[in-house]
Amino acid sequence: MNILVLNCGSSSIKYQLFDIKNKIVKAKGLVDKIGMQGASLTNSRNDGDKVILEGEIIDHQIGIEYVLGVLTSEEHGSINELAEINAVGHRVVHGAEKFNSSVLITNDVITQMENCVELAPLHNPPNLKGIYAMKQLLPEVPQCGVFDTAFHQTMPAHSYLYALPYSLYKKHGIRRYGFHGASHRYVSKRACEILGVNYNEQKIITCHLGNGASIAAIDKGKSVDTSMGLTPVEGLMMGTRVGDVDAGALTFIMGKEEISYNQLNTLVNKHSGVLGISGVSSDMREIGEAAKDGNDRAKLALDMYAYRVKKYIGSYSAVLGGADIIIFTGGIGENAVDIRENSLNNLEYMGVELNSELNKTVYSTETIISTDNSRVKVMVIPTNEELVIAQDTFDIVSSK
Amino acid sequence: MKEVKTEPIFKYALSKDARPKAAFSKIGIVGCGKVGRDIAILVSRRGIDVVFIELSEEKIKYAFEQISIDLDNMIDRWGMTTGEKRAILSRIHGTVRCIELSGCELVFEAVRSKSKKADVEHVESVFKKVEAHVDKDTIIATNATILGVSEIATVLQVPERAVSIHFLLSSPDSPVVEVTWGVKTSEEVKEKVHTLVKLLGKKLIPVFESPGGISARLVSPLINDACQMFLEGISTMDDIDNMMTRGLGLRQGPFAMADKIGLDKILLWLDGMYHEYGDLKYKSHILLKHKVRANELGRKTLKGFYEYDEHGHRLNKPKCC
Repeated sequence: MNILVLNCGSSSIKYQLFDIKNKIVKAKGLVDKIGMQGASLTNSRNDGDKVILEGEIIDHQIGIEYVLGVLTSEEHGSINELAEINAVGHRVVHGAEKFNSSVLITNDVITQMENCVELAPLHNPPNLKGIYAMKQLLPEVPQCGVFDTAFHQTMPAHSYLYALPYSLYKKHGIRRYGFHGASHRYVSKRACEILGVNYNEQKIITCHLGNGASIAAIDKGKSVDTSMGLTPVEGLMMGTRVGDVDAGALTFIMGKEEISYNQLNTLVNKHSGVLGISGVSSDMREIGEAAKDGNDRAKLALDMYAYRVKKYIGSYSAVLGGADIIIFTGGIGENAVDIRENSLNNLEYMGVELNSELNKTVYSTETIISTDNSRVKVMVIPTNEELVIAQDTFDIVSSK
Repeated sequence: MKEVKTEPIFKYALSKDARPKAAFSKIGIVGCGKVGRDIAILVSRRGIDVVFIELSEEKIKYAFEQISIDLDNMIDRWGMTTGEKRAILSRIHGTVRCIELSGCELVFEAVRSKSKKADVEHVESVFKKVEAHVDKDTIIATNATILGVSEIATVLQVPERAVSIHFLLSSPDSPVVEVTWGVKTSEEVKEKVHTLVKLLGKKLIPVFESPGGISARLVSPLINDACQMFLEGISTMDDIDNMMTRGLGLRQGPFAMADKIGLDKILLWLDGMYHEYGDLKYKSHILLKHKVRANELGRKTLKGFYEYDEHGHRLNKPKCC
């Protein structure tokens, strides 16, 4: 069974074509700069064939049309005809309280997704564009939605509520929802498979550290707390997002800088985080280089980043009553050796003993990086959100 | 490892004929003064290509310099990133050739004159020229506030395509747009304009054809009256503004608002509405006229009712404000 997985961002589409029964990725690629000059589609086939297609891609519909075009093309294709695509799985960022698991997309589901747009105005509209486009291009093919927020719907009320007037939660759904659900779910399950332990008996802290970053506390297979909130701005320091900040500081800044709500939104989403502190870049590799060259603010950004991760690990250890497994994933979690080392520094009191020498050698490979004697197993697990989406889609379509 | 090939993408279209055309992929603007530039940024920011027409290469160069400065100011005030600035600029193209309006789904007229009469003639002539170069279903729009779109549309061969779309450009964050349909504007055009306004992230407020619409018609007499109260010595400009902001919850008082909109623009609105309605409340106040004659037009000239630095911050602001 072939399943096409789509992850539509504001100006990009990431895709993978899975042969799900054999767990093979037949092709994957990226449509980039949609609606801009310099738009391109990069397609990589599993036999090593790679092509970059350049030209105007005015919207998501056209972008997806080209994806289908290249997947079925003679020269770079992986399937002969569109009918070989049996299902489509979409990443959907926000499912609010309406969706606590992946679903088959129906007209009713689309309406409910549209109602979630105001909670994720930057992310849900492009996700929906992908769904609209596929509905038009492959109307007979079942489509499924896999939500970033769904995994965290098991959080108890004392964890997901903000100490704001309760009426705001009832009126507008103001609460913590959490994100990166597919990633937290995948790496926590995968770690248990590797360790040969029962997923439903473990206390796990998962650190998804990418350009966006979040940490989750998972108790007996259920997310009980996570660092991102109503929006993906809360929690850890990120590439350009501020993470935790005093709400009073924001209203103070609005007054002092005489800026509007929209400008404040851009300030906390795009000018802050690692970029805001370092003034160098939002890319950890560039920050690392700058720090090595003696840039004090780049070094400060790295210190702050690791400190915040450590603070959340400590906090979630308290929530869970200790931890059995700590997992690092995402571009930074899988590759930033120093961030892992520094965020686990001095955690021996809670049973964490990092194998520092081994840690220095691990990049994006499934590895236990704690010592054999460490009570808490620390692991690096490359995330695979697309596989989760494909698997969920397969499960839903098969059970129809 | 195999070599990575680069190919043109159009070869991989599923079916070129069936390829749906984006509702709005290219928008034209005639005149790239302040109004034209603001519309160009607004539209390009939403991923739509912009082609603007100016009279000379020098004016095009100047327009790009000003757009760049406007975008830098937005970055300085946390409203945008440098990456977004590059993307916005890459989508804007300036030209002296009207023929390049071909392929635009909508063309904005954004030329202004000093009086309503000259303005009508000007806009009519622009509408005619635009119609000669665009597709048969291209919408032709004016951003004018006080001109009747039905009257201007009479010069078009297809008057059903004319519409007045009034962005509140002095408040670029404003979530609403006033739209006036002409008597003959077609349902298809209305539907497309609804789509465009939605694409631009705004809400359409329909206004029955009436010079001044809602915003200019309400705000101009307010500013007129504020000038009169000041001259009568009832209160200071700051306190009149304070009363309206702190007392009644307006975001800006009448003097600060007038400086932001531009005093010349308000004078034009008032003269146009006085001409149209004949009501004395629209008769422009002498203080406003003096300011405009002295080229004290508000923030854009760094002096209007108040004084400003080049970043738009008010100078000599009393501490209590």
